[in-house]
Parts: sequence; C-alpha cells; structure tokens
Amino acid sequence: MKKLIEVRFHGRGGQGVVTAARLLAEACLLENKYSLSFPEFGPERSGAPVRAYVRISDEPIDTRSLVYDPEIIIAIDPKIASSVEILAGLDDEGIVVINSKNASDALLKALSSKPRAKLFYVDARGIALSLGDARFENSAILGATAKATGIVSLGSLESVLRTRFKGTVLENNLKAMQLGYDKVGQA
Amino acid sequence: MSLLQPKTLKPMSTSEAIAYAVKQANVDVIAAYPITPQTIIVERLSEYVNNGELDAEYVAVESEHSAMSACVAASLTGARVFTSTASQGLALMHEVLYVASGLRCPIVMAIANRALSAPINIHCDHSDVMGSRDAGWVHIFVENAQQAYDRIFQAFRLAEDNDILLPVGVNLDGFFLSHAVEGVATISDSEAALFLPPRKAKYYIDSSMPMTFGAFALPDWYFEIKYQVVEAMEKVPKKLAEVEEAYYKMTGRMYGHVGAYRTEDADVCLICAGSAAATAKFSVARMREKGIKAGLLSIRLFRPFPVESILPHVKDAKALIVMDRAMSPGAPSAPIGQDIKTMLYDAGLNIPVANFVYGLGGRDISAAEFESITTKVIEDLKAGRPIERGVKYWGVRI
Repeated sequence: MKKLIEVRFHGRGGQGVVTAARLLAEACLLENKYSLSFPEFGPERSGAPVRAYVRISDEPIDTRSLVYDPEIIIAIDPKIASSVEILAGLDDEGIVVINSKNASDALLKALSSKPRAKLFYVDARGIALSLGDARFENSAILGATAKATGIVSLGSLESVLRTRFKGTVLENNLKAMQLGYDKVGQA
Repeated sequence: MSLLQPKTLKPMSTSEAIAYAVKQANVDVIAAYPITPQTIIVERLSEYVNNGELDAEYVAVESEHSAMSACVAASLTGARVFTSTASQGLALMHEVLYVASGLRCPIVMAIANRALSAPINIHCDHSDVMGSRDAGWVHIFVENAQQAYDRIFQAFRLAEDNDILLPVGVNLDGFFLSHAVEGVATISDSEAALFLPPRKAKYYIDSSMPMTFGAFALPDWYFEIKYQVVEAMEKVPKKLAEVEEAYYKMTGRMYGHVGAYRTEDADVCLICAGSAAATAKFSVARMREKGIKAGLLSIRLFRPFPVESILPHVKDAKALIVMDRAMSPGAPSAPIGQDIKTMLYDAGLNIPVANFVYGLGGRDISAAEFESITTKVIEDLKAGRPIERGVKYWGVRI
C-alpha cells in the first residue's frame, strides 16, 4: 500500500455519501489503519451535489485539506457516473468505481490517457431497488469498492454496518453490500 | 508521544469527541442555543442528558446571548458549566463574554470557528474568535479530534483553578474539524473523575452566605478589578503546563502552548493555528524531503499569547510566514501577524514577517499552497530581495 491513500466520493444529498465515506473510514480503523473522513458541503439540502473524502494511512494523518489527487474515486450518484468531471485529479494508477450498468464511452475515452488506471462499474441502483429501497445503493457500492480496490475487506465493512444498523435495515444493507461485491465488473 | 494502535481508537467526529469529553467531565449545566449556527456537540449532549447518561441541567435557550447569560449565572453558583457555539452565535454572545471573564466564571466553551456574515457563508474561518479575542477569555486552538477531546479536560481543570478562574474557549475549525471523523483514544470515566474532580468554588452564590456578584464599580475601582483579569491571564501559561503534565502522566499525550516541527534549523518558519497547521506540518515534511529548510510553529495557546514558548523556536529564522484565517480590515497586520510582530519588536528582533490572510469562508488551503508560499519567500531571501511587508491575501481574485 502507498503511504497515504486518498479517496473521493461523488453523490447528491440524501444518497448517503457522507455515511459511506464514514463507514469506509471506520472499517479501515478496524483493520488497524489510520483513517480520516470528512464531507464537503455546499448548501445542505436533498439533491445538492455532495463530495466526501477519506484518507487511509499506516501512519497518523496530518493533512486536513480537501483531496485533489485521489487514488480512488467513487461515484454513488448514477447520473454523474458517466460524466468525466468526476475523474479530476485521478492518480495515474488510480481506481474508479461507478454506480452504473456499464462504463460510458466518454469515461473510457477520458481514461485512455491513463492506461494503468482501472474503471469498475456496479449497478448499485438496481441492487438497491431489488431490495426495495434506493437508499441501499451506498452499501452496494461500498461492497463493490472492497472488491475492486482491496483497500478494505468486506468483513470489516460488515462489522461497521452491524454497529450502526439493526433488524431488516441491517439485513438489507448487508445483502446490498454482498451483491455489490459479487457483481462489480471491470471495464 | 505514545501512539496507540488505530484499531483501539474510537471513530468520532471532532464534535462527537468534544461532546463525549464534556459528558466524562461530568458537567453540571449546559446552556446552548440549539439551532444554526450550532454543531453536533450540543445535539449529542442533549441526548446524553435525555438518556440519563449525564446528570446535568440542559437549558435550551432562545439565543446565544441568553446561552452565555445562563452560563454566567450557573457558573456563579459554583457549577461546572459548558456551552458551544460558532460564527454569528459567538458574535451575538459578545457582550456577555466580557461579563463571564469580569465575574471570573470558569466556563468552558467549544467554538466551531466559522465565517461571519455578510455574505452569509457557514464555512470555516477564524473571524468569529478573532472578534472576541480581547474579551478576557483563554483561547486554545486544536488541530484534530484527539487534541479537541484532550483539551476539554485540560480546559476545565485550568479554568476552575482558583488562581485562574477565567473562561476558556476551545477552538476547532468548522467543518474541517467539526465534521471530520477519525480515531480517538479516550480515557475511562474513572480516569476522567480522577483528573477532574468536582469543582471547588471559593466564592459562589449561596443564600445562607450572602455575597454580592456583579456589583457596580465606578472609576475608583473598575480599573483595578479589570486588571485582575490580566494578572490571572499571566498565570495561565505556567498553570496550563502543570495541567498538561498531569494529563501526560495519565495518557502519554501532551501538546504544549505551541506545536513546533522542524523549527530548529529552519530558514523560514510558517506560523498558523487550527486545522491548517496540521496540513502545514504535512507540507513541511514534504519540503524537507526536497531539501527546503522550512519549519512550522502552530499556535495552540492563543490567549494568553505564549511569547516565551514561541520565541526560542523562531528567533534564528531568516523570515517568518504568518498565516491568518481572519482579517482585520484597515489594520497594519492580520490578528496573529499583529501578535508576532509585537513579540519580535519587544524581543528586539528584526526578523522579516510575511503575513498572509488565507482560507476565508471555508476556502481550502493545500499542502502544495503552503509549499509555494514558502518557496517564494526562500527565493526572495536567496536573491537578497526584501520580504514584502504588510498583509497579503492568499488566493483572492482581485
């Protein structure tokens, strides 16, 4: 692992962007890595664009600025998953995980200048709706991220979910996460 | 500094860490305005009180002016008192801040530093606390959630010391810290109780032992009474060092009045406060890898300004770069710049100071920006060009 891994989440208010970032950071802590997660808010309302960041390191984390050159980019909102704007600053060997049934031509074209970068897609919206609620899509995409990036294990993410949710909400989030893990594909 | 394994740490936002520390500090009274611009801090505290986890009076008031007024009254009864606010809320408290220090109320307040209107903004800068810096409060800046958690215990022990009896503000950057989640090492409730036994007030409101608080003082006494705040303030650096020593023995964690990093042989020393100091530390580490002789001095105790702790770290630098996250329109320097220049003048030092205002209204500052600021000053020094004096506004489009 690189000394410091930086992750940027893209989504919209109400999609659990900030929660997903926090769950990832908490799962990394369980794996004995230092982590920091923080949101970047615009106007705080449903539907507004939201970014959230995670830093992961084997050493204590000092830097507190926003993330400009992420190793990992995760698009939770399916509408922006095809837009090349989400790729800003991606590391040459970076990994992109998008909530989509496939990888758009625009994204593939934009990534052709970074041959060592990887693009993964997962139909997190479809997985969430199959479980009855679009709100499970952030868990699905976290599962996909675990598989695509290897920065965290599915087990640690599941442990964190268990500390936050109960009953059917927990069960459905766990299912969404497992399905995201199983169904993620590489473009 | 002893480092704990990450897996032993509890994930908390800085706001949650502060609320947890306040609960463990076993406060008696919390008075706070619960609506914008408030933080998660009082939301969590109201849950602790509601759940029965914290036996305290939670007074939900109608404004920050009332919040601080209720805190003053509660503190005068000998209670341990906490509140929290940010930006406009601190501004609305302004007149009562002076009452709290003048009546020697050891209130602890967390201030999530955020911009002041207009334009309306909500994001991080230090305009709020800088507008309150002459109100007779001790002010501490934190750089991460761990410092915030630890400083709450230290703040109460310092404030409530009968030699001090001053209110203490624990300043955390809005959003960059208040909403950032990281692993925090916590102490046990019994350790907290040992470090911070119940407050033992010397003078307090008690109907069986009537005393006057808040009496009128005319020109014959007002000045002397106000001067006592200065005397108490002068005792703070030594007392805080003692408090930190005791905390260090328990936890192995100590922060000091300033945080110095690679200052010993630095040609240029960056000076700043808050979360940007942590980013600057990262930047200095990177610059050192490239052979750039930069250092960092972060201001952790801001009031009283810890001149004796700062000077040894900066006296041999060829230039200082003071970064201020607040402006003082019309003044010859921004707030921390003013303090540093005054300190240098009094010490008979003529070290050039480049003073930048940065990051207003939550605008980010990156490690790369610290590097370009520092590199420019180093190039000027090498070329024998004078360092630009006065205040410059980093990154503003003019």
